[in-house]
This record gives sequence, structure tokens and C-alpha cells, in this order.
Amino acid sequence: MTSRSAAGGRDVESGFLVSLGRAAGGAIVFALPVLMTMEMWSLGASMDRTRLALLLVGIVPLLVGLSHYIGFEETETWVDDLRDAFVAIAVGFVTSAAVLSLFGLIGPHLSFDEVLGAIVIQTVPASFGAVIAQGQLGQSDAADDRRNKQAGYGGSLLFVASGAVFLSFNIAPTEEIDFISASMTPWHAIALVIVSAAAMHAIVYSVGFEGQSAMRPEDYPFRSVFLRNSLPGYAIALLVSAAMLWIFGRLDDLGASAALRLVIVLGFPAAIGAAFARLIVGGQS
Amino acid sequence: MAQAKAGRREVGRLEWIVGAIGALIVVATLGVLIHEALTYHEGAPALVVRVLDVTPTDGGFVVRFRTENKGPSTAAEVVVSATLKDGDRVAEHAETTLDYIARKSSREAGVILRRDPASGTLELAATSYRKP
Repeated sequence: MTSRSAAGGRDVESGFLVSLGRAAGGAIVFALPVLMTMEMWSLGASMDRTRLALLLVGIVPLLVGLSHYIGFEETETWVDDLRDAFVAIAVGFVTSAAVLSLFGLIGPHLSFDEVLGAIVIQTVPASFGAVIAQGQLGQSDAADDRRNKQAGYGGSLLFVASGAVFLSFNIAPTEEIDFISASMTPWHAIALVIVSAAAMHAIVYSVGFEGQSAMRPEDYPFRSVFLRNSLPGYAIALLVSAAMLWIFGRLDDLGASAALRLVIVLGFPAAIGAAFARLIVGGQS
Repeated sequence: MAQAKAGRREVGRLEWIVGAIGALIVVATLGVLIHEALTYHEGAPALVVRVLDVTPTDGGFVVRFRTENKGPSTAAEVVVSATLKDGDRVAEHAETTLDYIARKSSREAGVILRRDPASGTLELAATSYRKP
């Protein structure tokens, strides 16, 4: 009796170790572009501390939501989801710290401030990767599949926000978006808004129908899908891109129109990421 | 994979431990960041240059130095200029730019002089920086 439950316990632990390894793999895959980008190393040290703290707090609900719908482990209650989110953060934090020290980017020659900042920045994409690893790389279980189908409107907006964060996070700190927005005329900006919204709609439409979601052509006509999914999705993408830019301090010295243009430029990758969220984040189909 | 037969999955102790570590990391990091945010005050970077050593090489005298930022704000593109003076006369001048020195951090760099710095007085100082 005792030996049998002990063996069962060992199975549970070894199963968890396997999923930890998978999570670490996912963390590296998703964090690598950020890990090897120069802006990201210095950002952690120069960023406003309050905003860095907000970034860390902000990813927790996103991770809880992701864990609820796709899971890193099969989850039933919100306590499970919360624990999984923190497991993902632990994996992301440790993986980032390990890779950064492997590259010689953090070490005793840097101040504690700088080291902690760099690791926290990397932890964001790494912990996303850790959660998503289960959805993409692992076998999803029946319970998560079922819930993924039932994700509903709120759940789909959560996917959209996660996708927007995921793709805009890598791009927000770069100099390039400044150059792009500076070289655009107002007409370019208007065109970019239209193209972003249209691209989002096209992806949501095709992916939504291919996939298992509740949307069906006969149930929801074009106008309804556009109003219910694509436009709110684009609005979320814009909000996420504004939030990312603000967190990284990119909007601080800008006037209103320059800031809006920067938000629109970053809104493009955010919208694409948002639209593909069901593929990138919730890809079970 | 570890899964209970009827619905609910068994959760191992290890999983709770790793989850708790994650929570601890978040709480501890937030604590440090909030502490830093509260104690932070805007101010000029204080850049102090200290010579580490001078090595004669075939390419000249390599003067290695460490620039420390003791101030509360981060400095980018810090220009450190080295002037070798022979009495009142400037014998040699060299300059280098450090990409980035975070607050309470330091960076190592060097200048290469043709003359032996011991032949005169070597002055090393940060002369400009940019807000990152």
C-alpha cells in the first residue's frame, strides 16, 4: 500500500520534471530573440522601477489566463492556474538568468540593479514560452481541449491580448519603430491603421473558421465578426502597444501626435500577434 | 503522464515547491523594485574615472581604467578623455566612448598612448554623457 503510493508519487514527480524540462525549452525558444537583443539588456537597468514592477505584476493575470485555457499542466481550479503561472515564472526567471550568465551579460561585475532588471525583462517572454510550451510542444489533454473550445468571448480577448503582448514586447524597445514612424506621412499612418485592422480580420476570419471556435459563417455574418472580434481585437492591440511603449518609457518625451503614430506603428505587429494568438498561443488545431 | 484515473490530477510536492519558488521570486523582486522606486530620486550621474594599470605594448601604452557611476541615474555614451600633460603643454590626447553605465555600476575601458604616461601627468575624466 505504502510502496504503491510512493511509486505513484514518484511517477507524479517525474512527470512534473518532464513538463519542467519542456517548459524550460519553451522559455528558451520564446525568449531567445529578446535574450540576444542589445536594447533589452540595458533596459532592465535604466527602466523606471515602478513600471518594471508593473510589468511583472501585469504578466501574472495573463499567465493565469493562459494556463487556464491551454495549460502547462492539466488544471481544474484557479489555485492550480495560479500555481502554474508561478511555476512558469520560476522557470522563466531561472532560464533567463542561466542564459544571460552563459552569455557573460550578467555577473558580479554588474550592479545588483542591472542584473535584476535584465532578468526580469527576460522573464516576461520566457514565462510566456514556459506556459505555451505545453500548448504547442506537448500533448494537450482532453480537459484543456474542451476548455479551449469553450474559451468564449472573454477567453478569446485574453488570447488576443497575450498575442499582442508577445509580438510587440520584442519590438517596443527598438530604435527602428522611431525611424519608421518618423518616415511616415499622416496618409501612411491612416493606411497602416486600415491594413492592420483588415489583416487582423482576415486572420481571425480564416483561423476562426478553420479552428474549433464557436464562430461559423452561418451563425455570424461578416459584419458581426468584424464588430465583435476584429475591431475590439485591434483596439486591444493598440492598448497593449501603448502600454508596452509607456512601460519602456518610449512615450515620455513625445508629443501627442508623435506618440499616437508610434502606437499605430507598434500596433501593426501587435495586431498581427493578436490575430495569430490562436495559432501562437492557443494553437490546438 | 501522471494523471489520476478519475478526472482530478495528482499534484506532486515538487510542483507546489516550484510554484512557491515562483511566487517567492515575484514577491521578492517586487519588494526590491518598490524599495528602489521609493528611494529613487532624480539626479545627475556622478562619473568617476580611476586608472587600473598601464601596460607598455608594441602598439603603445595601454591605460586601462574603470569609470564608476556613483549617481542615481544612468548615463549613456559617456565620453572619457585622457590628457597627458608635460608641464603646461598637452603632450597627447585620447578619447573613448562608453556605451552605457547604469547607476551604481562601473565599466572598464582603455586608451592607448604613444608616450609613457609616467613621463608627465595623466588626466582622465568623463566629459560628456547622454540620457539613455
